[in-house]
Amino acid sequence: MYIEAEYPEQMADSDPVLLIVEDEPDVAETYYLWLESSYEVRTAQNGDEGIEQLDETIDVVLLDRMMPGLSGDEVLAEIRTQELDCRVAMVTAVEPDFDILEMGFDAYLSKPVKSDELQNTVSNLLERSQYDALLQEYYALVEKRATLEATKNQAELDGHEEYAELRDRIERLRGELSETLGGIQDDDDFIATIRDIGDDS
Amino acid sequence: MTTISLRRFVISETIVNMYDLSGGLGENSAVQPGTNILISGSDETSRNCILETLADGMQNGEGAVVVTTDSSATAILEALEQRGAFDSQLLTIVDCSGGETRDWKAADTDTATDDRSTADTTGTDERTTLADGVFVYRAAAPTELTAIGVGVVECFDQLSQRGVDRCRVGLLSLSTMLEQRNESEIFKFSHVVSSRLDSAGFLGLFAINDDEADTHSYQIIREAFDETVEL
Repeated sequence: MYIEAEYPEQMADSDPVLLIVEDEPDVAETYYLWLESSYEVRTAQNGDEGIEQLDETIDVVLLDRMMPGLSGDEVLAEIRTQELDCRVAMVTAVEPDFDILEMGFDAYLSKPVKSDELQNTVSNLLERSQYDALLQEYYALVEKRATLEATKNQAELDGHEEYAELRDRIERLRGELSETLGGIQDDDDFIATIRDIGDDS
Repeated sequence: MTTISLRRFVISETIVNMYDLSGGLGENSAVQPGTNILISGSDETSRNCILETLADGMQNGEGAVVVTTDSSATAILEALEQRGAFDSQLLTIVDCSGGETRDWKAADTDTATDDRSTADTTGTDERTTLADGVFVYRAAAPTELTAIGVGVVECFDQLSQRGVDRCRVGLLSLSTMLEQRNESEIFKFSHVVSSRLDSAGFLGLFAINDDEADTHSYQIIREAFDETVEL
């Protein structure tokens, strides 16, 4: 695939990594069974353990909000402090009455969580990460093209192989962006994607 | 007056769903739903052009979202009033000017706000209704990209609750935002907002000061839009 060719460092064949932070062993085990075929799944039994396990390899954290000891909110705060590039879904017993995006969560799931809900949420969060990466690459290429256009005249550009290739890649990236997240059809994806812009810089 | 070479511009009477731009952007011009246009000109010219185009839409029953970074919501209201009537049920505003009106109509906007508004403050963002129904979402500053996004979504929700399914969005202006956020952030923001408007089938009009026109940032940011109009 095109993206993999552009990002050899992300080409590792390994599955995306999930961390489940959940104090009820049965619940954690259920999530694990649902997700293990598609992802590398790690588990933590409480907030402290969750924080110990945080590292750069984790793509998505499923975080129980109400746990003895450190709460989900505190674990989230630590994730944001460490500026880890992962998505966090809050798992909660009651539907939140506040804006979870403003709180810094990327999504929420209310218990009892169903298998398809969990799968959809995880894949949506991974797709947001992909969008973010594509958008960064898109910007970088557009920036490069603008620099070339500013420093070379039309005749030079016409004969410039890299320039032609750059234009093709920009065109293809624009297409890929319009297909990722359905071209930002959903308001939550819209707001989450905008929030990522600030986080990147 | 305009330099128009727009791929998506066609003669308006032929297609029903097009957004008619005759008033603000030239005779017989119209664009497909989902088109996003960068409007480059002096602050005043591009603001007038965009407000004119939004006002025309409201006359046809289309909703309007004004995202204002440099003038207060009240100043926007007054500017629209001067153009004739606006429909308070169709107009919504995301005000991230921080309450300041920097470069125009500096007088009497603050007092007017007090007379006409009823505020509902939730958390850090403020939702207000002005002039019998104009929904206003206040974000703290033009740097608050996420809050602007939330404001735009809430405006869409308000319009949708009022049965409005076509909408024109005007952002005044990207230049103010570029003073405080870098070009990469503004490019990405523009792309994401354009994409959202595209999938919703709305019209987007984004002002940028033509002082920027020869800059590297401008050459990059214009890529986020379908068309560029130089006034």
